[in-house]
Amino acid sequence: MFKDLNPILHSQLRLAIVSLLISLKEADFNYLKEQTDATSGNLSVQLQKLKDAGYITIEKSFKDNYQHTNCAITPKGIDAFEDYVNALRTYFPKK
Amino acid sequence: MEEKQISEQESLLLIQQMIDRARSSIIDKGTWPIYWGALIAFCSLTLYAEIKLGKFLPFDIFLLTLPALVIQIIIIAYNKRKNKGKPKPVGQSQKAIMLTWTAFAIGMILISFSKGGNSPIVYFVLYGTPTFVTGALINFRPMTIGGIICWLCAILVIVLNISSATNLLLVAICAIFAWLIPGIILRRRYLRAKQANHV
Repeated sequence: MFKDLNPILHSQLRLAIVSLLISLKEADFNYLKEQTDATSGNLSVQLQKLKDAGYITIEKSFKDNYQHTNCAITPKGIDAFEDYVNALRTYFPKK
Repeated sequence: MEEKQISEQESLLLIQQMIDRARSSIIDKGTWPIYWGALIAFCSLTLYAEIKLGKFLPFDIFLLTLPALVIQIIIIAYNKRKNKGKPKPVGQSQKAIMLTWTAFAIGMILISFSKGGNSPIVYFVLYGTPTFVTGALINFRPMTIGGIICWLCAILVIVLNISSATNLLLVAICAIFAWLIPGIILRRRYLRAKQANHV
């Protein structure tokens, strides 16, 4: 029986962002942009969607005259990612 | 990368690819374990040779660790300045590792000035602790084993009546197994990840 996949995570860019953040304590906006090859505008929109879902936190600050946008995954985001991976497993035959 | 729906197969590949990229971004380059492992092994083997040959250098070879520490601090400060403003992800364990090694460095400096604590057992226990903790935190078995080897050397010194010259050989063994070899493995791993992901 296939489980439904969380529509917030089942999109290329949002899933890429959450997969990056799951292994890190926090990551800078530019780092996420570099790793996902996304445009700034698109990345901002998808980050906001993940934030609205409560999956990530976004903190903006100034450090050494540079603007920093730091993103980190929340416990709710970790749970959603784990559920997503478990649901994804049902689509593949067990070895 | 765009905002688009993907197949289950593509999802799985994407997750794997992104996790690999995140890991390779924070992977240790192995520079400092190699640097300290080689230096401490060199110092202890040189002092061992001095004792065995009965010919001594005009200075304590282990004093080389002080300029080495200064050089390390300068390089770290320079790199921090050079990379100012560049995107840099933070790994889950990096802060804990940094604090553990800072505590180790402070402990080593304090003990090197103390006559009572200046015993090989204290050194081996001190060498082993941050090495073991780092290995466990980054899930890197060669370093965890290196930490255990340091503690085994402490046990050897406690149980057997080992001469101070032989202690130096144990120090070299600790430096090679706890730092030099794990550092070389980390370096090779980093270079492989760099080649694969263009880090």
